Amino acid sequence: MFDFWRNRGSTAEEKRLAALGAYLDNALPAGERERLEAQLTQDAELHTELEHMRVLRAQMQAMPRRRVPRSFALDPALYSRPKPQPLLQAYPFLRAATALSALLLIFTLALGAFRGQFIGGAAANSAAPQAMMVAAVEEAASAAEMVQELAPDEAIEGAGTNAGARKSPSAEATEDPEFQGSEMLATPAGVSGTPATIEEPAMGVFAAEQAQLSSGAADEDIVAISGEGVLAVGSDAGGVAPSLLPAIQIGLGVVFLLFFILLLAAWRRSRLF
Amino acid sequence: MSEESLVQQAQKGDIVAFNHLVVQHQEMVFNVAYRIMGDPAVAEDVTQETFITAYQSLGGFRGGSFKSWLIRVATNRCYDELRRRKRRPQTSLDEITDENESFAFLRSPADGPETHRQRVELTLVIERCLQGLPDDQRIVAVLGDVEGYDYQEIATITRVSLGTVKSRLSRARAKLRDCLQQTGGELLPPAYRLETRGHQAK
Repeated sequence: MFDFWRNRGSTAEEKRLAALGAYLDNALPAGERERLEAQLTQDAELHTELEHMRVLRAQMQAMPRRRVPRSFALDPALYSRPKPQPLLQAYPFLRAATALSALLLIFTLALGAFRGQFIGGAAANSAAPQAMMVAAVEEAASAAEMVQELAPDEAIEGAGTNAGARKSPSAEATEDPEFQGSEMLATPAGVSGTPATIEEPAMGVFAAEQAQLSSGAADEDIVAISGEGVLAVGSDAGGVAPSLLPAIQIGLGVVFLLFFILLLAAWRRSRLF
Repeated sequence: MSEESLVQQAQKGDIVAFNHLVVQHQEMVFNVAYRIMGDPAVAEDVTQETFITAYQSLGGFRGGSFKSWLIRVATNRCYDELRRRKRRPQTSLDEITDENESFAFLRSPADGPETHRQRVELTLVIERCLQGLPDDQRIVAVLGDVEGYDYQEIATITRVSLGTVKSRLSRARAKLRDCLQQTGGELLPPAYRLETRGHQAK
């Protein structure tokens, strides 16, 4: 398979000898043959080389054959019928099946990679928090605007605070909004604004209300992210159901491995003959 | 009976038909094995194994040249034996017996005694030079220059590319030429003597 790699060190001299040998054996393409013949008429050294090669080949072909020391006929009592070779008979099929299953496997893996299946592996566990943070950041911005409108003097500090509360979309935020409003201040790494205490409980209540309003959409996204193991936020699954893709990949992988092992066994067997 | 029908009968389990094929090809297989292995006793074993393997694996023969298929089986057996010997080097008894004994086994056309002697001596020199080649080059040289297979057949038998066959054969020829010039130059008939590079052949 890697013959070209082994032959990479061929020197000009070796290439010249190979061309001479191929010429002698009538195995040189027409164009190269004509070129070499033109060289031979001009280069006496090359001509001598060719003659040496011709003599050597003649000597080897003239070597007398050895007589066989005995008959190699098989004893009918010792050898049974030729064994059937199902693997060898199936070799062309196995080769095609292995190639096909490999192509399908590559296709499904590429499809998975395209959907972010593999980079989601490590991130899958943190997908929900990440999504929560994204939602929180977005809502923090909008809440900040609203708070600015309602209470311009306290807007900046409150915005960061409320965003922290709304970052937990559904359950936590609704259980104890006021407590959440103050406790979750330290949680959002991506949220700008420094931790601050809530001076007005009304702000926490407002945050809880905002969280409830936005929890529906955020929940859908998070479920999609954590359930599918796909980073694509949203509900665009399209084509093969995402939960089926890993199963198909595993199945194809097993089929490919099976065919590949059988192909190797058949190939190994075929090396005997 | 044609070779094809013999093969078909042998594939059905007719060992008598297979033995007809053995008789037809045993000398060729034995000589290929001998030139590659350089030891008559080992060549004998390889030849026997070749025919046993060939018979038991006839189901895997998918048409084409039976002779080439048989040579491929023999070559693979030689490769196996060469690998085995590399793992466990051993000295054959034949290597330490008088080389003149092998004269009796050489088949030669009806030459005079002197010509026959010269031919046998030259053959021994070439065989010794062949044994000095790396295995891959020796096998290609035996198949190409001794047995007369073309590049494509050699590539099929040895399962390497055409370029590799060309390359191995040319390297083998260059080494054989050097070896013959060093050890056997005086044995060659004047018309066949190899001069050093740069001089015209006589």
